[in-house]
Amino acid sequence: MLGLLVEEPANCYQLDRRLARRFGSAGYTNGMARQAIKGLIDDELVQVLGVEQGVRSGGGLNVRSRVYEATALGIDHFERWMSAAISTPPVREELHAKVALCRPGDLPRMIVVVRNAETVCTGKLQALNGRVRSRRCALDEEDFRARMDLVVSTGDQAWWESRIKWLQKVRVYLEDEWARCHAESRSRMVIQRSR
Amino acid sequence: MGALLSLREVSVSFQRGRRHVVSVLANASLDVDRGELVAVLAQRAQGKTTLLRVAAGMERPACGTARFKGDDLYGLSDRRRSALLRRQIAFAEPFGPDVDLPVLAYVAFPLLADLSTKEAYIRARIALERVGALECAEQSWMSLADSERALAAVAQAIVRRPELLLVDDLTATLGLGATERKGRLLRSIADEDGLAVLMCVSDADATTWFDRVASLSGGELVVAPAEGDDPGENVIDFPSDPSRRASL
Repeated sequence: MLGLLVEEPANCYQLDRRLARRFGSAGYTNGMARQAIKGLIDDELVQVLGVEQGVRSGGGLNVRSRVYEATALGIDHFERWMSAAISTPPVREELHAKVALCRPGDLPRMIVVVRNAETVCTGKLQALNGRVRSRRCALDEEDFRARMDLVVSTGDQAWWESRIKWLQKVRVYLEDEWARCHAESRSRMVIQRSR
Repeated sequence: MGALLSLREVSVSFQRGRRHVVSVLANASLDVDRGELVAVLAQRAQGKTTLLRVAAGMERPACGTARFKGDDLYGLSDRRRSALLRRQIAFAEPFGPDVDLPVLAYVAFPLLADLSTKEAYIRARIALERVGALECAEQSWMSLADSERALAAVAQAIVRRPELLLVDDLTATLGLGATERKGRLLRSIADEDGLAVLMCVSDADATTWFDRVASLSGGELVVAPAEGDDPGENVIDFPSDPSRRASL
């Protein structure tokens, strides 16, 4: 958010729009900007540049919105962050916990849950591709920004790819596990019957 | 009108030893329409090539149907099926011939059964120019870089002016920029010729220029819902709290 304000001052609505356009695949929700701006103002990294007057789409009431800009401290902070090494924390989701707590009887349901997750992730990648295509069509291939956009979007795609590949492996593993449990219970039944 | 290619509950398995059976495809279903580009994302040895071979009429499935323009591919005689593969269905793969042919001869090869050598070579040149690899025409196939081989393979596939193009992981060994250019190229060819493309890939960045994405593993094909369709139970957008979700 700070980086967006370093690029250009904006109001919260504009920031939400720019955030969705630039980092769409991350699933940011509307209202994120307002929340983040509060923290940034508290840290003196952002300040109010002024208030702009606008008209709500479809006519009606005037809208007054604050326009924010990065402070000198904010710009310095952003520059240091840009040059620092990245440290991404591992993402833990409910699915990890479900797989960890899964019992043999839960396997058929878990396979369905994982397959659904795979469908959703594949759909997310598909939707991301649509956005990337339309954005890239609008950019000149020779443009520096277009070349950087290629890197950013492939990073987003790689995130979903790793997700899909992990889910593929988990599903195949759970299916094998279910087949093994099924075979074991059948052989137990045969032994009991022979006794 | 139905889909150009329609696979319905296709299953393929191979016998390994006396007892072991490997299931490569299990009830895989997929439709590809005219002008549509569909990418199947899968890791190695997950049945990508088998899926394409079934779609090309080269691998009879144990059960299920593969229809091309409404015709059951495996209900056709061998002669009609091979004629389809020579003219209407093209298969592009990065592994070319083991013999050291000039690229122009390699690209012209599928046409030699139907056209004179001169005409086949003229069309091969046009195809190479279209994919931006005309400068490779006189080089030997063995001397090409991976990126050039991918272009030559696409040229060889489109030289016969097919309606369906099947592409087997052409971008696996390419970098970001080359993968992007191949994707754009396939998109522009498909748009200009109204060609349907089914491509199997191992990297997500190769799917950018494709309309639809499917995932294949353990023989099961998981197809992403079309835009506006219900994706089913969404277990990804957890947690429900917006701030926690944003932090993911």
